[in-house]
Amino acid sequence: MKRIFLILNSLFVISCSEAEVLVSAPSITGIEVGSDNSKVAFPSSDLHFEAQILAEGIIEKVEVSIHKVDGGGWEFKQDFSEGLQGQRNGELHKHVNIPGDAALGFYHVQIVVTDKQGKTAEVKSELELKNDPSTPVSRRIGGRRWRATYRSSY
Amino acid sequence: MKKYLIFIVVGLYACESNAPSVDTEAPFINVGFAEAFPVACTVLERGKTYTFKARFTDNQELGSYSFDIHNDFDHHNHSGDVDACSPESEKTPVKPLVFVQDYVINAGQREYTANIQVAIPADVDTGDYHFIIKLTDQAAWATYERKSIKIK
Repeated sequence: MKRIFLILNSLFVISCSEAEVLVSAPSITGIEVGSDNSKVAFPSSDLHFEAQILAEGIIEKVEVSIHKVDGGGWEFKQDFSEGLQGQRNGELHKHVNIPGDAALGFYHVQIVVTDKQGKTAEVKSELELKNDPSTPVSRRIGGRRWRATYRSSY
Repeated sequence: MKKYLIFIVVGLYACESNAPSVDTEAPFINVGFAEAFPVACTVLERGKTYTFKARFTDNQELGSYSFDIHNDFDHHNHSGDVDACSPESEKTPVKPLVFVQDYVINAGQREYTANIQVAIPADVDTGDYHFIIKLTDQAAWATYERKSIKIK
């Protein structure tokens, strides 16, 4: 009987101490990429992105990376932990400049959140880089160069 | 047998009471009282100084807060934005106001009223701005309050 009691008591102690350290992994919700979540952006302008982060285990690191789906092109990676590190929840809201020579095409925007226990959450969103329809572009018609032609008028 | 059962029950109770009380509630920002400032669509004049007021409460203990004013010349969004207050045309910032300040609330407070003097420089860009309050409690839960304002 005494042996059974000792085993049971040990189980309680173990389960008790484990209960104190068990926390959920972080989560990332409400992802918005591009103005009004259009998932479209234009070279030489800025890209807006936003997400809600929840980390019971306390936010340690928030990283955002952008890369072209088929390789090459514009690559971006930055640590956005400042203003979120040490919190259990928060809003990631940033604007990053897209270089004028960024290759057009389809990209992935990846957000990775790591908590103080090393648990991570990761989300990926699509993004298309294309020419801004409101920006004048040069166009050759019949060998003559016409300026201030708008792509939206094509 | 009864003796062992008592030990187990006491052990369980001790385990429960030793566990730290977990705060799962985020703090609360009150900007709905008469003196709260700025409110949605407030117009701040360049060269003037204003007293920003907001009330904070938490179920256990407040931690810190920050005020953030940044331009909205590109008409970007934030979660929970209020109305855009008849936005002006989009434009490129030249000398936009950037105001970001963190403030620590003294330990042990469950209620606090922020009273912060904010001077609007005379030479900053006029136009649409966002004003964001972030409040954090001692358990590291954060709450945000966002307003669209203008500078003229």
